[in-house]
Amino acid sequence: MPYIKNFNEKDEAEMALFIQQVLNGIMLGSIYSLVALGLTLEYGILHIPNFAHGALYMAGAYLTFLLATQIGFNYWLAMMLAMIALAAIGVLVERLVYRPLIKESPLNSFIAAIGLIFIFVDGALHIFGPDFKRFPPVHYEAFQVMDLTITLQRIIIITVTVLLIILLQLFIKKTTIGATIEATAQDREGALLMGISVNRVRMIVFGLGTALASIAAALIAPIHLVYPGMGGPVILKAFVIIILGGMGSIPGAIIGGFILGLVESLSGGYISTAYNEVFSFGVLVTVLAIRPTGLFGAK
Amino acid sequence: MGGGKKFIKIINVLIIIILTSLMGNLSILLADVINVGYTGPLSGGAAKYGRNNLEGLEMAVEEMNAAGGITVGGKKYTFKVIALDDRYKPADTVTNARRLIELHKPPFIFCPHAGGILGMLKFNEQEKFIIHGYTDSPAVLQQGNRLLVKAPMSMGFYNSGVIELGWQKGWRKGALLCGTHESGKLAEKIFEVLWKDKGGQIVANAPADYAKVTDFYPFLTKVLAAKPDCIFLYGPSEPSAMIISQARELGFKGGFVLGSQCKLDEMEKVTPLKLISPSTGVCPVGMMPLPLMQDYSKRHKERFNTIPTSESAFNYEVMYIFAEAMKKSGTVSDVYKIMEAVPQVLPVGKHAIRGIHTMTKEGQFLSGYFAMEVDEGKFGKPVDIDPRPWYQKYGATWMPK
Repeated sequence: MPYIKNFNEKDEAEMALFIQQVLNGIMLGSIYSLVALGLTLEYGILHIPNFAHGALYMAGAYLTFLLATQIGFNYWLAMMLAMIALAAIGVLVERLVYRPLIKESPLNSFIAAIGLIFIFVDGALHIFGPDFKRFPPVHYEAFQVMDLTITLQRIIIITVTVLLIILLQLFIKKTTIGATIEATAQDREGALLMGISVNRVRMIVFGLGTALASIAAALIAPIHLVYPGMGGPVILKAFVIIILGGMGSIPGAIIGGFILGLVESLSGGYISTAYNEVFSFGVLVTVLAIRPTGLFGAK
Repeated sequence: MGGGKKFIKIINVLIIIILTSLMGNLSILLADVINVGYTGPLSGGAAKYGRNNLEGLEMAVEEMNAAGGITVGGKKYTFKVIALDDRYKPADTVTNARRLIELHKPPFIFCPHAGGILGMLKFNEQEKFIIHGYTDSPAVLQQGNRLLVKAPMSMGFYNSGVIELGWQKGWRKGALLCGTHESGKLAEKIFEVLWKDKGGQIVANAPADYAKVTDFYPFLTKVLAAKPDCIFLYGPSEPSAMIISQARELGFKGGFVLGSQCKLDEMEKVTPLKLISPSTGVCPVGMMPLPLMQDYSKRHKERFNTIPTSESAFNYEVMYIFAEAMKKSGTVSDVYKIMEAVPQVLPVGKHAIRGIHTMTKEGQFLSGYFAMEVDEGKFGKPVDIDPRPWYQKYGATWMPK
């Protein structure tokens, strides 16, 4: 019966399109979550948003790129080394930039962050030039399953994100250091009284945050381009996510990231791609109207 | 007369001899300097584009100075480029222009974006400086300004060539995936109007901010669902190349119509030609069958270590046009006289690397233009397209509605 056959085919195509867009959204969400995770960790410990997070993300991308192309390291090795380097840079940034400003107005930290952005972005501009750099193709094998396409690199992104989220949760909940981090985030004075070295915790957490940014950048570099301004758009989305999810909340960053990824993908696919940001901010405003501190924010 | 006085006399004579022999060289040391202003994006996402523009200008000025400068009305002049960063923001362009006028009084200011150019057009006739507006946008020609020249031809014209080639390949169902920047939106309209005028269909439209988008899959998934024969792209070369890569990953076997901002030689560095095929695009400047252009490419690569683009080439040629116009008009300060001389000095001999041969009444320069196909991993032969018929039919200020 030809009529019913056509109906089924169209349905199948619609279904495949929907699932592909959901898959796209999950992949996008993974990257957003990773960047937002780093940012929310830093906020949880500093109590001040690290506006230079995007610049550090960009530094991680360039470092990975440099190690993989100029020195010829294997992709994973390059990512690991860049991550360690960024962790070290993060520790330095906390120690030299944010720590001295701890007793001052938050505005000072904000200005310091802007200064950092200029240093990193202009530095990248001068060392590497303004060109878009393409990462050498890695894990580009594409898998086609029933009209759906996903490349190996995207599968890796989703997998690594999930792994990192689990590891982070285990680290915070099951280790002593994790416990000290939670304690310091909740109550700095109390932690000090308990004999916790708050300064050390701050450095560790900040280093962790920048390391996460570096991993996110290294994961996405092969499917996008590396250029000095790449931190800007990413950091804007990361802030939307942590405000949406509740600043300082890890589950908030994760769920916020995936929500944003899915909203972008589905709204673009079914309504219009030109208004991507309108939909993202629309969701943010709606959530904040209902829960002003964000989905998982502290009351 | 004592021995001392005699000694002083000899020294005086020696000094006079030395000075007179230096006179010839002194005239160059004392040559007047003509300042040439540039305001454009030198940082941020468009930094590369801004740099490309500036390099052409700098190359021309360096060459002219190395040759001893130019002689206008019996006096020798050298040039100095003063470049300011406006970060692609028209408000900054205007500030920069005012600063240039205040401090350096340049008779020419170069600017590579429509927003900035339009800003400066509001006062360049009062402040008496000629603008070279490097932009595709015809809007700048609609202000009736008498001190404006524009080298890039109309976006409508440039893109008509690649559309024509795409049509000849048999593509009929097109999808739009253009950038959301000012020229991207214009390109999108042009593609739609010209394609439909030929009888083609537009089956999907998914504009994307090429610079900000992290992943093009959502856009491509939407576009490919409509099963187009070809996809129209318009934006910086490298992200365009990424879109093509990702479209091929998603299984797209059709063609790409590459708008004038996409430079095939830059795209080739990001995505192999095999994946770019089949497509139509503008012939890369280094591959145009213009011998003067080939020679310029070599020199440019040696000097700047970058591939020269239309941006560099046109600004180079326009600077020479300005210099020749000064020589012809006999003045370095009367900008209206210099403007009058401009059409009379075209083409500028061995510096006419893009072959600018005509100027329309609005200040639009017409030059050589080539489109090309990319098939089976190889560049096709450049197809020569004379702008004069298109300009006669549509005019220099045509914009799609």
